[in-house]
Amino acid sequence: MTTIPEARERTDRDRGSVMPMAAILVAFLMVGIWTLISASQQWTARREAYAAAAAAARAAAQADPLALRAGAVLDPERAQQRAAEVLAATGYTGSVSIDGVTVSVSVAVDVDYAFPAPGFAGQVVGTATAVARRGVTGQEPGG
Amino acid sequence: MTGIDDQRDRGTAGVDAAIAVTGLLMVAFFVVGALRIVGTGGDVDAAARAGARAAAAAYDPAVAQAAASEVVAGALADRGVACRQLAVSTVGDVRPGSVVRVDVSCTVDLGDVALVGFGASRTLNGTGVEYVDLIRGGAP
Repeated sequence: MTTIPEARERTDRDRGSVMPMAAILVAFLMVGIWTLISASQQWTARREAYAAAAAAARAAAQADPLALRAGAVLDPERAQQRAAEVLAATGYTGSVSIDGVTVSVSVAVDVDYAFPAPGFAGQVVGTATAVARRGVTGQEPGG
Repeated sequence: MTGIDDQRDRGTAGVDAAIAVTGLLMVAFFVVGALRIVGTGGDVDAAARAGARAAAAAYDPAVAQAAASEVVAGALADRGVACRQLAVSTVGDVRPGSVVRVDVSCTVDLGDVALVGFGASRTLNGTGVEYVDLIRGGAP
């Protein structure tokens, strides 16, 4: 059987515990929301970087089909120029590397976070590769 | 005294619950609104890229504009984005070796989450860039 002093002691011990608990819960909730939103924005920027890199790589891998049939590789200067044209239109900066008929483009995109995001990368990089082929499948008849 | 303490505390749980539920609802509205803006922004970007690819496949600027508009509207509809106002503009040339840019502007309704300060609507912009292939199939 609980005596009055015991009951009072228990009441005193519990007093004020709800508000700190609520504050802690709300703080965790806010951190969770902040993480979710920042991660979403970073993901969006990453997709943008990949898309720009892919468009630039596709442009750079455009080659003269007659030269390809003859076994030529991409002209690095013209490939760079085509990639640069696409990158200029997107407004991003990137680097282009060409190896024979393969073009790799890396694009860096600054992430515009809605809230200050320490711990999240301020810039994300997307890399895409394109290969110049003869015909659609690379198995052009008569090639 | 225990009796006085009990009387003083009486009814606070209901008030606490009301405040907590209101707060949680506001947080939920905020999360829904923020994710809708971020998600829809990504959808508008993706639609703009699809529109740019469609425009780059056209042989005529007017056809490119029409193709971009159709593809952007379709891509947004497929993703469940309802634009109150949708504007699609095509910039650039469609000659082989040119660069085509498609700008998309979509105003989405946020009236249901305006309570937490998002405003009744928001305009989201997206851009897609595509290189016009040097060699293209089909008839010009």
